[in-house]
Amino acid sequence: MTQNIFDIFDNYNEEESKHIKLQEKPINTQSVKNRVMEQTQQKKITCTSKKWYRFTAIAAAAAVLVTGSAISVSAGFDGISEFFNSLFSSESPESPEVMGSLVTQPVVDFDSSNENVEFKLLGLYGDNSQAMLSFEVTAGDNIKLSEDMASVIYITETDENGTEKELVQSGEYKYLKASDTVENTYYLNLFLREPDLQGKNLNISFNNFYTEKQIDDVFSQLQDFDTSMLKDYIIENYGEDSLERFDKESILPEEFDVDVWKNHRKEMNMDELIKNKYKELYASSEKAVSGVWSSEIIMDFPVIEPITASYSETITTAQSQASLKLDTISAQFTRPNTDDGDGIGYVLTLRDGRKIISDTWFCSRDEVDEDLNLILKENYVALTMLYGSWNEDDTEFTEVLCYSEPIEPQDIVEIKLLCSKDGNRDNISEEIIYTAQ
Amino acid sequence: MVGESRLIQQLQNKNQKALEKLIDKYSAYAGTIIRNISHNILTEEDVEEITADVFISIWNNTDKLISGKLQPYIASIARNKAKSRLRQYHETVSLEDTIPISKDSLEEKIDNNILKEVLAELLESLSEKDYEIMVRYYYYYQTISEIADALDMSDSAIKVRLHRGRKKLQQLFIERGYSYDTEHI
Repeated sequence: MTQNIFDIFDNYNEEESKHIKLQEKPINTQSVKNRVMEQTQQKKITCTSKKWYRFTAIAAAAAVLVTGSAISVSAGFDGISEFFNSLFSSESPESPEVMGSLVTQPVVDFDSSNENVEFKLLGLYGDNSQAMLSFEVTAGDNIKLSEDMASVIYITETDENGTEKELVQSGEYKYLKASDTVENTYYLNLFLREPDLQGKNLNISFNNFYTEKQIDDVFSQLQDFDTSMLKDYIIENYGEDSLERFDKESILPEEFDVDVWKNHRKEMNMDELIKNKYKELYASSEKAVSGVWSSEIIMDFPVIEPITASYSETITTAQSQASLKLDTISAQFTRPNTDDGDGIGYVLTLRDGRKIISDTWFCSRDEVDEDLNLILKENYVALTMLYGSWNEDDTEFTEVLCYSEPIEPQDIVEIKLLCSKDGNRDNISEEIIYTAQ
Repeated sequence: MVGESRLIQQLQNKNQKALEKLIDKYSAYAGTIIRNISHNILTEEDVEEITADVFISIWNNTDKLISGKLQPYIASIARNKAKSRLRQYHETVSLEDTIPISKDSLEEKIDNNILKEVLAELLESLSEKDYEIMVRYYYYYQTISEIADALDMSDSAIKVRLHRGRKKLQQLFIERGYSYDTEHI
């Protein structure tokens, strides 16, 4: 009996071979494209509910406080369809119209350094853990905007004492989406993954428009800047020879201690240096359209008093006390920060039998089917966003599940915690952590 | 990487233009891997068809796309699709490209985790050049002369290094009791 060596290399991780440049042979790309389009367009309808899978990366946030009125409060305003038509990104809800009762449309003015581009706030909604804002961007005749352009957005919060604090998401860039009906009109959505935004006064400024290439250039310069700090550290602590090896093979010195390096980063305030460099690079870089458009916006949307509960569980490594909070369009789970974070999920069962699941990994465990999408659409409420955050000393981790439609907290009858052992899909433990009173 | 994460986001939004962009960028790459694996058994039309299958598979599994890992993902799908198609042709593998498995070994088929572990150990032990040659030959299915051209070396030098790599690989299996020393029987 023999073992084929080619098959052994099936286990090769290609990410490690970035330095190997494969000499590509030409192919008839158009023919490949035609074949692909022929099949994917036919399947378009069955694929639409894939939006289900769009969960975004972890962002930082803090604890959630609660204020508010009732979920049924309806803002009601003209132009609501315009607001929802503008929602387009991966962060947009699957059926935005069901969010209608939550939308408000404050009128705000923008200070502008380039009056050939106009910004207008179309509306906003949110709860105690998130907010969605949508803006309309109109370009004058002599300005050419396009969907390949993004604006860098800085957001600061001003508290009652007039003190300004930058939000964690400040500095993100957002691409434009062209209006389907009006020429030279675009939309920008801003999904804020922050707790306690209700009632707050935010200064939101859109800074210039950049092409994808210009953004890539800034990112690449920023990476160089980050690497240069690591190189300085290597020279200082391990000598020139180590740096030579690092430059040549990207290998860190054998004695390199990551924890010590992390502490050094903290002590030298490197994250702040990078943040400043980021701003500096964008300010000095080439721009597709120059200008700053800013406005003071009060986060005026109705929030409710959420249901809160604490629970103890026995199936994760922590096996300890945790808490949950059920809100209008989100559920929040806070537990001790453990290594098994990737293997934890939640299933929220609603009164009408539908479910909300925090992760497709856990979802597909029970629902492997030829037409999974259909099953998901009929039986589950989709998430538009899943984000997480750690508290300041990294001892607690909070996950926020943002739904695609409002759910009365009272309509959640049961919540199950799932934990996969060793990342094994076939070895999942579950435990009920909440039952409606 | 910023461009890649945007492309993935658009694919997850089921944006057909993004799919076309992906095909423009990676079809030659996927096609090259498929062609290398087929060693000219497949027609150009077959190669195009399998390449198209790769992108259809990506389109239907956009939730699996991770920024920074797009190319490796495409490579692994291209390899699997090409190998699966080639099974129809009953292509034989040269004895040289196999490791004999010991009759004393308890398993008939070596567990994938062991294969992974042995491969990682092998690659770690190889010089940069030998590593590249083994990966080009066994992962990208390049021919000896293609590798020789790419690395500006002679065919015989490539053969020697491949032989050396295979011996090391066999030694690692011997140490684990899965193979035996064929030179001293």
